[in-house]
Amino acid sequence: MVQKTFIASLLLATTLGLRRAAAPAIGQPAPDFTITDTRGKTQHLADYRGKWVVLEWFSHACPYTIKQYATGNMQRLQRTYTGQGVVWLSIVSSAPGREGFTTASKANALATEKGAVPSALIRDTAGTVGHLYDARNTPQLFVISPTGLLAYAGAIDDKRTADTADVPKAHNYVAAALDAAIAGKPIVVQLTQPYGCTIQYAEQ
Amino acid sequence: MAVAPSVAQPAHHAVVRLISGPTVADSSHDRWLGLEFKLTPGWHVYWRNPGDAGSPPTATWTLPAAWSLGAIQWPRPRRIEVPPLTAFGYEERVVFPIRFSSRGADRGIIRGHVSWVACRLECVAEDDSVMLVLTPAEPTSGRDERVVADAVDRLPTTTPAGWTMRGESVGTSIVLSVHAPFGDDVRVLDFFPADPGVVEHSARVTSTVKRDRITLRLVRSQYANALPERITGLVVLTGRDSIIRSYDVEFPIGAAASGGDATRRAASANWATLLLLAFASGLLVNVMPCVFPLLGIKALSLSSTVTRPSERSLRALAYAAGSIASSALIGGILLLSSDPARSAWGFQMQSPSFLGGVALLLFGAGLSLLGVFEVPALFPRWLGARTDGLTASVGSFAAGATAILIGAPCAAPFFGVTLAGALTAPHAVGFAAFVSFGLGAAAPFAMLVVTPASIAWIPRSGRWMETAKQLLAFPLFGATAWLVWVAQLQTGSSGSAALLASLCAVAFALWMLGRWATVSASPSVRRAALAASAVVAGVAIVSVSRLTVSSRAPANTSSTGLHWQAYTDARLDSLLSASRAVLVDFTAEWCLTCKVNEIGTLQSERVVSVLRERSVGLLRANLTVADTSITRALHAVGGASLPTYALFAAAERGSPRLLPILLTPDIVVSAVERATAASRTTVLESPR
Repeated sequence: MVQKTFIASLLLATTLGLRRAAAPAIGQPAPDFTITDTRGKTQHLADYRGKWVVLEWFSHACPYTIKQYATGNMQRLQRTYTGQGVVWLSIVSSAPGREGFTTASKANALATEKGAVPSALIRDTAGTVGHLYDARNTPQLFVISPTGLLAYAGAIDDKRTADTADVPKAHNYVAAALDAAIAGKPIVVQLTQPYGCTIQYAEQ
Repeated sequence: MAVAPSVAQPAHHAVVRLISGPTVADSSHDRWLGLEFKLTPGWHVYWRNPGDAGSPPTATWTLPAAWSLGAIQWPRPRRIEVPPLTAFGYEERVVFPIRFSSRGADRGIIRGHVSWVACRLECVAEDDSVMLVLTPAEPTSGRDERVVADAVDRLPTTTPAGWTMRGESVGTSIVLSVHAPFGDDVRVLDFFPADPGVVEHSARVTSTVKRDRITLRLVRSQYANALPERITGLVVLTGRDSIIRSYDVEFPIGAAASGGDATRRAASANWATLLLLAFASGLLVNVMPCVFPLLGIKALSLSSTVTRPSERSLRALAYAAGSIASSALIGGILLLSSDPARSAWGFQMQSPSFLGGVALLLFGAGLSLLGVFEVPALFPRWLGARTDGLTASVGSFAAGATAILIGAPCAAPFFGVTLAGALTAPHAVGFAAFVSFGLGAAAPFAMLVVTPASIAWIPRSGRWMETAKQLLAFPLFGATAWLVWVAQLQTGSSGSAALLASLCAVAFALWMLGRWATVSASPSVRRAALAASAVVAGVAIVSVSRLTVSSRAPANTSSTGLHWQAYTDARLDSLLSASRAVLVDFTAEWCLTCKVNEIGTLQSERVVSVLRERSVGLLRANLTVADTSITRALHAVGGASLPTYALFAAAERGSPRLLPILLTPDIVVSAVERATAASRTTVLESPR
């Protein structure tokens, strides 16, 4: 069954990848995926039913991602929310040879060096998961509800710059969404246009 | 006289200089400076709205107290395509003009720190310091002055007086129009939105030009929430002289402009009319097939068991309170919902757990009517004499509340226009309209109490009452069957199996109640029966509450041979851009009025032949299960409830016409003829 889903999503991703992929809509089921993380463990989204899940598109070379990590902001979010039972998956969809691409061991070393504490780090070198979500930028974040529905998609915050000084001044959409979700309140901002670098997918 | 001593570091992809330019045309004191970027080939920096990636350069300045610098000005950008993304920015070289003013003519130094992100495919954040030594009284060197003057020429002009701009939303497109005496030779080169998340940056901007009007067609951003109140940006035009000019533009998006005729009419109707209409719609709910059985049951209970006027009043009040409360609740949710795209009247039917819950309720009520169990027997004895009155009031309240919840989709045909008005009115008025609707729905029942004469209509009780009561169980079972069918469309067969099993469990639980939890049973037997049935019913309720949507709305295949395609924003756009008239049918399996129109009108021979003959594009927007993009489209055409029929004329511009909610072949045929006749006129006009 799992394998079937995986093949289906792979096929879907290939077909969609040829044209512009359609983004999953807020309130609709978040596309399922099965992929191996940098520690060799299988990550199957549907296994996390019952928990809030964050997908974070990541590139260690992108100034907009560096802005969040250099200030310790992203690590703080990861620590705060994984501490409250949220599953945080950082995903690198860079193709081999392109910006943001690393080997699994280098990726782990980078995460350790930066003090990043996601639940798992995923290399999506074929871009399968990225295309499923029509992820376009790093950083770009998705919040998925315990019932598997997409609850937030878009930018990390409202300061659309690469300036580290903007981090403390910004309204963080992801923190706001997770705080509301955990408190059982409605999420006010559910959709924003992401900002940042272009994800360096494999050439179609 | 100007010095820019910064030396580019080797890793940089841009060399930045601050240079001095010409005096500002409308001022003798102010002068233009320029922040110049020379970029490595292949690399670019960004406009103020960077598009789908990147961010604009920023600068901080230190300068003598008597001097001041304005904000960075943005020359018109170009599109930088990195499929599927589109950025707005500059390649090779760009100069950002900055307005400089000084009091006094002494020599001074401006120091600046400039930060920017330069991208090719990958992006790099860079920064550098710039410096300019300036004597305001002295003229600038010829070469730099010319460079800055060219950049100033590329700045957008403020909107010329005499331009009238407005925008509206049509399907997934945003149509912006500018009225001004342009002349025949004007051509639209591009449009750049000032803010991200409003229009799709990568979508092609299509435009039409008539002598006094430019119309731009843009695609709404997939990241857009609600339609903004105004869209600002830059329109780039050229004329006979081939000089490219850009203008700052601002298009108000009017509430009236974004809606169809029905919305406009309702919105302009005064509030009193709105409240009256809402009341009348509420009255009509009582005769709708969805609610009628419930009303019958209540009237029956009133005539049979209650003799004291005070108790009658109490029940009538409870019923009215129930119907007002649930109508106010729906109204409140609709009015306050942060994302109007996700809700609309009757849309609680999109939730399978709601459907399942109502099915359990109706089924249980049916069993109660058949005498499987007695409600008063369930209450502890110490409630004593009050029991009957209390349960009856609670029951009346619940009946009133349920009547609205179930009746809502049936009421849509009558309430649709009123509702569109209520949603566009100020919140207080909108809320009052919902309360008024609830009052209307409760009125006939309350009449029985208030007017003594009407009580004479209530038949005397007798043996027939028992027969009538049991007969009324069957419409309830019928409604249950219909709800199971709708739930199956949403959840697939496993979901409907769970619902059917839950119905069985509820029947079992209620049977246990009726068998052992009777007034005459011993307390221990009663308690055991109550506990056992609570457990069984609890399991049923939990399993119903866990029903989730698992199947997409079924594609509608019709037997008429007409090709109805499932609605997507892209399909609507492609049909419209092919200059075809398009009929969008917003429908759902749980919408009975929709089905009546479909079978009675849309599949009738005359309608089918006119639709085929005029090659009208047919899109079916199915809302059986929740769908954000379709709901957004429904709001965009000016609809608020189902059914909504939006007919787009073949001529390109303008809002769709909303057809009446109850269709007849005559209405559809004449509307289609008009919508396609307009296109012929346009075709004749256009060669001019």
